[in-house]
Amino acid sequence: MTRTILTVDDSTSMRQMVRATLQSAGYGVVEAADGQEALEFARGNAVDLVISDVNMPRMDGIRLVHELRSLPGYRLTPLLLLTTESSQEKKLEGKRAGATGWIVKPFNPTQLLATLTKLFNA
Amino acid sequence: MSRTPSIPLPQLLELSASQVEVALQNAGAQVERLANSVAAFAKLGAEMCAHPDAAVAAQGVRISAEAQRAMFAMQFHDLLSQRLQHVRDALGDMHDALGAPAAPSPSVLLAAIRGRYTMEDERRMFDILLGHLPGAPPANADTDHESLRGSVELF
Repeated sequence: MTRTILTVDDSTSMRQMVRATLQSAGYGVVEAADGQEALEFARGNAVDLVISDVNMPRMDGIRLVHELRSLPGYRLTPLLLLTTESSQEKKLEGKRAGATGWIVKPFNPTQLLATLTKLFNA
Repeated sequence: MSRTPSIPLPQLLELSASQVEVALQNAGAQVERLANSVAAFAKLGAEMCAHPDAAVAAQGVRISAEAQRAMFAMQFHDLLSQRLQHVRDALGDMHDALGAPAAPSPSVLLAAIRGRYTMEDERRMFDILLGHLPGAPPANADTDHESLRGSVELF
């Protein structure tokens, strides 16, 4: 069965890069342009993993992780934050909100796919 | 005696912010097109990799590898865009401060500008040029942001 991944980023080109990487490995991809749009989608749909940017309008990625963890269907879903932020302070905020991992942009496509394989096989 | 005309600072700040905004929009539209093409190459490469003909599959591996390298490099546009957005917003803050009936204190203005930064090297440059703001968390001096790019940390 095809696994579906929700990608969240306000940058269209970043979403295109993530989608191309994921689709090349056979994943299904759903996109949202910010945390609010992602949360609205997640309230009615389940996905296998979420990859979200941190700094976005309307709702940022850390808030999104926090909100997703309160949804019954997302308590165990891997939630990855993909961001330009590399400060320990922000990382800790993400971890406390319930994120599964932190990836600093620019992502390496091969490494991203290896990370997903690791998470899905865990 | 002739007087030297004063520099129209608010208008110059507004102009500079507008120039940055136009550059961002123009570059964004082009990068979107380029990203579409790279994504199409990545898809083509993946399809060729699964081809029964070994020669075609080998070409597919090469195309996929090139597409991945292009995808990695293209993400620097996102970093550049963010940095330019912060410059644009800082120019806007300065413009608003100059036009405000009660100008905000310099520390409030500087804290607002620094608070928008999303990259450690932006904060570090700010601190080097303007000094560390009281109460602001220090930029992690022993963290090499370059080396963290692309890093993955699972919690």
